[in-house]
Amino acid sequence: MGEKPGDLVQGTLDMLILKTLALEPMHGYGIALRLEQISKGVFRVNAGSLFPAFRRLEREGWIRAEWKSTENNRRAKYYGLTARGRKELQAATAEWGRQSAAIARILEAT
Amino acid sequence: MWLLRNIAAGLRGLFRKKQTERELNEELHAYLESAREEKMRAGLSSVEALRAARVEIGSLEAVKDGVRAVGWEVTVESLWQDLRYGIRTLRRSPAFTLAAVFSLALGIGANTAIFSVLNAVLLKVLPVREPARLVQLEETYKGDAFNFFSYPTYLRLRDNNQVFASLFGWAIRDMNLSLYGEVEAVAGMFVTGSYYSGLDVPALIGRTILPEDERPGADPVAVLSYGGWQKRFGGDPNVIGRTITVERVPMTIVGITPSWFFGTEVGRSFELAVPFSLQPRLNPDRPFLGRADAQWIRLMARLRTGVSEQQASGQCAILWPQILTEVDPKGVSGLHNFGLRLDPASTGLSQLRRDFSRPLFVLLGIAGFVLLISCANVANLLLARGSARGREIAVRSALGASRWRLARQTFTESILLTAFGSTSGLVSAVWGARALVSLLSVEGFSKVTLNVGLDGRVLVFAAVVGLFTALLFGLVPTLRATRTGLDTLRTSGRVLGGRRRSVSKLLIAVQVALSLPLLLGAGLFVRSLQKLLTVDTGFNREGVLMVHMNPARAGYKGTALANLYQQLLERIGATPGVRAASLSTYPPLTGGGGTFFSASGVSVHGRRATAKISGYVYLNQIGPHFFETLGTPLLTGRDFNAQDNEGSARVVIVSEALARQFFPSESALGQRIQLGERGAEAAEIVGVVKTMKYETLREAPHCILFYPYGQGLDQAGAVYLEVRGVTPLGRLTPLIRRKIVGIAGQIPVEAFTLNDWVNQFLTQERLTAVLASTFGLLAMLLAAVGLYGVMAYSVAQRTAEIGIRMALGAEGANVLRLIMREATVLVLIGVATGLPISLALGRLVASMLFNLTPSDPGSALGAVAILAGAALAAAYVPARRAAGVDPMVALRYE
Repeated sequence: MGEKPGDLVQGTLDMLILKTLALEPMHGYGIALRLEQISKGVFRVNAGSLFPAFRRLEREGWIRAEWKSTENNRRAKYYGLTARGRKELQAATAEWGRQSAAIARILEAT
Repeated sequence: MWLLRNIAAGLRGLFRKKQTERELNEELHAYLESAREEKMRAGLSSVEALRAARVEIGSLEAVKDGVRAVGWEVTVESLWQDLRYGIRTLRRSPAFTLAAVFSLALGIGANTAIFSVLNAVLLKVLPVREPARLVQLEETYKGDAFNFFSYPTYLRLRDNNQVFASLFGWAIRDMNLSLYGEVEAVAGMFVTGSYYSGLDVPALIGRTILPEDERPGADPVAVLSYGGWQKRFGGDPNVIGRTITVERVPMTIVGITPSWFFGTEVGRSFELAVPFSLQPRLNPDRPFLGRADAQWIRLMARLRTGVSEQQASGQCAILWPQILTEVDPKGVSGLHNFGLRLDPASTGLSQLRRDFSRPLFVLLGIAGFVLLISCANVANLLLARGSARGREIAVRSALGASRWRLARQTFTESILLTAFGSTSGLVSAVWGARALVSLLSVEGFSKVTLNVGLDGRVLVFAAVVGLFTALLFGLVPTLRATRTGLDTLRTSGRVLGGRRRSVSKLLIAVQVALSLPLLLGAGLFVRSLQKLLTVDTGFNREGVLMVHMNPARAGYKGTALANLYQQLLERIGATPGVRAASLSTYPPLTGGGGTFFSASGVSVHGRRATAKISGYVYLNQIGPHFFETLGTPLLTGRDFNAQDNEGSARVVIVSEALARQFFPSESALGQRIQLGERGAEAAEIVGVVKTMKYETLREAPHCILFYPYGQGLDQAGAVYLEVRGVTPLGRLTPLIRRKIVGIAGQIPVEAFTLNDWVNQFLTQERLTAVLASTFGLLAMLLAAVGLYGVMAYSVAQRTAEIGIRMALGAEGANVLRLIMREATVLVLIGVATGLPISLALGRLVASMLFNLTPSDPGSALGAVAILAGAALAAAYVPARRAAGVDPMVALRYE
């Protein structure tokens, strides 16, 4: 998708994080792991993009952080989707659907 | 909502930085830990898993930086960093910082000081309601305007117009206030009953003067200004209702006006205001109130709502001739020559403004040039430093600093310098403005009070000037600094781009070019002042003591007054050390006693019946020996003597200008002129004297008519005694004072020299000359120092080159010439550019010069010579150093 394999199209990372969090609140590594697993290893999101994205989404008010203990009984920062974040996810998904369909049509036409 | 949250989060990030950082740390470590666990689950050992996780996550610091960069607060933080770094760098080179800050403080301070005076004199609007609706009234006569009116005129104008919501007048006069048994002269003001209500100035305590107070027979009342209240009564609120004595008239203090009210005349404040109706009681010797010929009141009006200035002017034009005729039923000839003009008066009236607005603008322009020169100097300093710091900048850019970041850093330093410069400039401006105001006042003659405090407008001005300055001197070095390539690191760091040096030189040429107009201006103003000081005044100002006194106030009148004058003249004239003594109603340069000549006032009975004369003539009543005392040559005829008294025929002496104007084809001697009322005895011209400067030093010869004290048509209570001494005045003054006390008793007298008296009328010229010279020399000094710096730097850089030249056989003299040629070219370029600028600017000040054209070759040559001399002298020092270079040392050093 990007120049290097595993890079994400600009702006899609935010959407993917929101999507991941739509099911349940997760901590940072969990999100990275889930993205990698679901994409079957196509997206390897590194910490350098992930954490700034968290800060950004938090500032936007789309996710909210909370310190909780993990399954291994360690403290971790869990991110959960807010109501506004849910709305944003819907809007972004719809937009993405529209755009990818359009791109697909263009690619098929040639 | 989003914005608010964002700001809140940012502020939290700024102020709870530690906590945010700790949380981020903890979160990253949790992440690392989770990653390690995941790897271990995949079968790696604990150590291997940790390493793998570390590799995966990369530099933790980089991640943190990425997170920190999300909010806006990071910009603030890096600005803060820049500031701290800037301050540290500046502190590391105190000499540079001091030189730059001083340079800027000088430029910004000078501009702000002059602007704050300009602001106070010209721009500050009267602090009253709707000042834009205020107009001032001026009587016009053939293109000249006069803004004094008589009280009867005021009354008629007030009662007959339909265009003014309120018409009010005032007159500032010294009044003797008796307080705690002592008599002091305070600045008093007569006001009409409508004064305070017309301006809409309320009382701070008590009440203001009301229309009822102006009625004849009303109880005498006075209102204190805030300043007067503080000064005389220490701000005691119980002062209301107290009785004070002004000129022997007891009156009740009824109110205090607010601290922001300084009156309607900018630069002249007052302590005490009383209604006009009290004037005849306060000055029984000069009851002006009912007299139409006493023009002494300034008038202002507030336009009625809905009436425009044009409409008001229109009505005044119709009204004015009627009023003139009513007021002076004898009739005024040439009514069509008179008019009434309305001028906007939102900023109040000001003699100061008329005298000083032009000089102040010129000085502001000069100060602006000084600032530009300062900017060029600081830019040069920054450039020189920039090349010294080339290495540092190269290192920083090699370490990954972006060009933008480096530029911002350099510019931050410029801003810092300006901030320091502006702050110190502002502080010195407050002080400078006060000094300037004190230059406006003349000790013993006129006290100027101006509110030159830092108001919003001055602060904005200083800020704008500062910002403009920073842009001007900061931009070039900033751009230049960031262009430093990494090559600098490879070489020893001393290599200079040729372009940097040429920019420095360009700046020097600019400085020279900018200094030239200032020096030329200074030269013109100084020469102009010199000419004014040496202008033929028609009297000899040296060695004359003047004593101003008002015996009428002390109760002398009628014969007693005449006898007193007689005695004073005889006994002072006989004092050892006195060559001659006389007295007059007006001293020279007051322009006092001026009056329109018309058929009803004065007419001529020559041998050819009645010749009608009209024009402006100055009447002055004098004692015998007046011309001898002042040193004015008597051209023909005789002086007045003791025999010219009530019993003898009326006689007058006229100025040469009057004689020429009224009797162009015949001798004035023996002609008869009728003075005063119709039917009074006509006076014979018995002498013609050289025309003295009577109103200003710049004037064309005036028509002056002198008549003797013995034939008092209108015996005034206040006189000026003139005494010409053979002994120094310093020793004579106490002697004369004692003599006067011996004759007249304890009456207040003011003594000063004629020289000081004349000099006070040159305040404006002196102020301009002094400040222009100061600024001109300053500019020259800055330019010379700049040239010295650049040449010294250039010589230091070229030591090796010079060494080689000398090793190849160049003499010291050749090297000297080489360097001097470089400097000369710069100076020549500067002069060639500066000269046309100077001449063009000179035209702007032409009207301020006296007997001098702005392109005066002497001044221009002088300015060029002084500037070039100073610049080349500055260049000579480094050139000598270059000539003394030892080739061996220079080459070994390399």
